Amino acid sequence: MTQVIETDFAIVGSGAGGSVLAYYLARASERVLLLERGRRVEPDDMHGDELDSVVKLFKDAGAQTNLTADMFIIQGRCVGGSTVLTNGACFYLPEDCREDWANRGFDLPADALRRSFARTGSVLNVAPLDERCFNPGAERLRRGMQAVGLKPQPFLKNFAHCVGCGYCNMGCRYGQKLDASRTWIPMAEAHGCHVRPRSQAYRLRVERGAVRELSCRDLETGAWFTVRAKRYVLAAGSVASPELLLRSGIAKGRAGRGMSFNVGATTVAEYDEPIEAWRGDNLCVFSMHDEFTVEQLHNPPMTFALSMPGWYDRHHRDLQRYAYLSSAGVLIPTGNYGRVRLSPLWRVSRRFDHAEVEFTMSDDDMALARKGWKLMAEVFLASGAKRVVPPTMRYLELTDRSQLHRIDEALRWQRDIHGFGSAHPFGGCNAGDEPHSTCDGSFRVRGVDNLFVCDASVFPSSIRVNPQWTIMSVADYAARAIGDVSVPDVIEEGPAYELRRQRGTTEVAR
Amino acid sequence: MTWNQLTALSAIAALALLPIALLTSPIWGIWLLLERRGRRRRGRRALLPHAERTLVAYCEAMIRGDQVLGFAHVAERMDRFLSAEDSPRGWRNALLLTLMEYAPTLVLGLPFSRRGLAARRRFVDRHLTGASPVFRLLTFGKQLVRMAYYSDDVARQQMGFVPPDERRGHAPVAARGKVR
Ligand SMILES: Cc1cc2nc3c(=O)[nH]c(=O)nc-3n(C[C@H](O)[C@H](O)[C@H](O)COP(=O)(O)OP(=O)(O)OC[C@H]3O[C@@H](n4cnc5c(N)ncnc54)[C@H](O)[C@@H]3O)c2cc1C
Ligand code: SF4
Repeated sequence: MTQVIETDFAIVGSGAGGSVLAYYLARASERVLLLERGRRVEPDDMHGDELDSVVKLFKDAGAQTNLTADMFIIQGRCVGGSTVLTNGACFYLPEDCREDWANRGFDLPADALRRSFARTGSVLNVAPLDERCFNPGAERLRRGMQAVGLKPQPFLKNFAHCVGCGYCNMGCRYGQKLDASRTWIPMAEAHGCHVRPRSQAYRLRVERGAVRELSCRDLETGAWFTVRAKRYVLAAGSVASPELLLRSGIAKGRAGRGMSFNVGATTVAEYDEPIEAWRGDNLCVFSMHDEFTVEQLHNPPMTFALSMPGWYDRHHRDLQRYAYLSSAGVLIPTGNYGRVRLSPLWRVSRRFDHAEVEFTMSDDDMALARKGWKLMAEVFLASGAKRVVPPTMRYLELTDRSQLHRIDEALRWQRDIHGFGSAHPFGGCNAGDEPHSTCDGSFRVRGVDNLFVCDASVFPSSIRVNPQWTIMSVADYAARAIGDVSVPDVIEEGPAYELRRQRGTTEVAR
Repeated sequence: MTWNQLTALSAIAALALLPIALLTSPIWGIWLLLERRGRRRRGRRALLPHAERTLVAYCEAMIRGDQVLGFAHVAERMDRFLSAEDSPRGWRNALLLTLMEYAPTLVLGLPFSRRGLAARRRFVDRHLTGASPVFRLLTFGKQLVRMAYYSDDVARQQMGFVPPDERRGHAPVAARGKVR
């Protein structure tokens, strides 16, 4: 017989959105069941084998792509979701985005949101990255940025005592990144939240305008079970939340629409002398441009090899110069014309039962991307690099500013971009009052009383910067609307609070 | 070409070849049995011997600079990747390896691993590096090859990379404080 679990709140997905909400609800003494498709991972499970980490922590082992396979869409799949894979970069929601969302019917009042950022920031220990963790490429990039008139800044990060190993995207084996698996989730569990790893939510059954039950599968045993809750919250991320709605036949014609991204690809630069940019945190400095964000990103060997353009011996030879190389990227915000659909054969077999993402950059966004990559190359050349390799399918090598126009020629279409992808998908269950909005301004799925969405999929547009802190702060704000619970002014628990207490300070601890 | 079109084309090709496949089923049935037995003998869980040959052939064509490492480990790592990945889309990667092997027959050539090194490179040059619409999906396979190759310890050492614990001045966590 199918097991039935009764609870007050069933939350699907334990990432940035789901974990924060689970904490506030559990803290308010609600019965909370947090379903997570991935496994539970501890720092000791993380190590230097990138392939193993990718298989263990990434959705589709890092091979999730769009339908045309010319774009990677990278997401996490473990307890803590994608937050376990972040570089720890934290940004406030840009004010123009907040205003734009309000105009689209998704109004997050500035004051309340500021308080949410303060609360979540204290749990995450958000502070500027300690310069002792900087990698040697950061200083050069900083010089390059200054030379072209950009203002470099160190990233704000959610770290404790980072040792600058450079492996953030594979999970922190030193337990120093205060992601959801180290903060919100254990904090929620301490208040009685039941976390169920390796449990995939599969389909919601709706009757008379309300969800009656959620069918789930235990991925360890293959057994099906049913969850009955007073309220259901989807926090499965920007591809999986709309996928669940589509599979359940909810919000037809709206769910899956309006996806946007921060897209990017890395540019590589070579210096005359070895700089060993792998010594240190791999994301140290950034600069805000009006239209995009320039960010240093120097990956460990396997990921670096994947992002390095070129074929054959040239690719191999370039990699033998790894110590002389440094890389960085530009985060390009796209329009919200992407779409999640179910595979046409999804009913036929489990093999086809998944979502497909349709996304090809518009001409305007492509033009913005070219502008970004030209600026990136300029920054590297100004930093003293002897050559720059932009992310083009056809290998291109620039040694002088006068050659920047070659980027325009080499990058005409999305398929011309090497290593193109996104780790920041947004939308698909957009909130607001636009025709394609799936949720109303209170996170509720239109037409279904007890169903809410609380993750990056409610974002009506791309936010141009790394989103984890914004997603968590929006979830903090959403707790009242979704759970009717009150939220404390300050949170006096969790690892960051303990660190501050040990030091007798109210400042963030480093 | 999209993933859906590729799946549809593979299905149409399979259907078109069905009569021949039925007629020759004793032959390929035995072939499949042998492949499976070969997989067991090699201690692999997911990678069939023919896919392993394809993978190594791509490595030989694409990472020729390598003298030290050889490519046997690449198959071992790809097997780990394919067998550990429990996603509904995982089968696509296995399909991709098969298509990478037989793609040259579309341009009337021998399967990839049956070609000489120069012919393999010619195929990659003509059809993959330029990302022609028909073969575009196959260029994705390049990343699979690189993923398996460059995640190995020896390949990383060759690149001059020093793992964190072996770095000079690496501060052990105990010295900086453990977070609970
Ligand atoms: C490699 C990488 C680096 C990043 N770096 C940064 C950074 O430095 N700074 C930053 O701000 N952001 C960063 N991000 C982005 C950030 O992590 C994400 O935007 C954010 O975590 C998304 O939050 P979410 O709640 O929408 O989804 P996620 O955090 O992705 O959580 C969704 C969870 O739901 C689970 N799930 C999905 N479907 C189901 C189902 N059917 N049943 C049960 N569970 C399910 C998934 O397994 C996953 O764990 C990075 C992302 C990646 C992948
Ligand atoms: S760079 Fe710092 S936070 Fe990131 S994985 Fe290494 S020790 Fe952890």
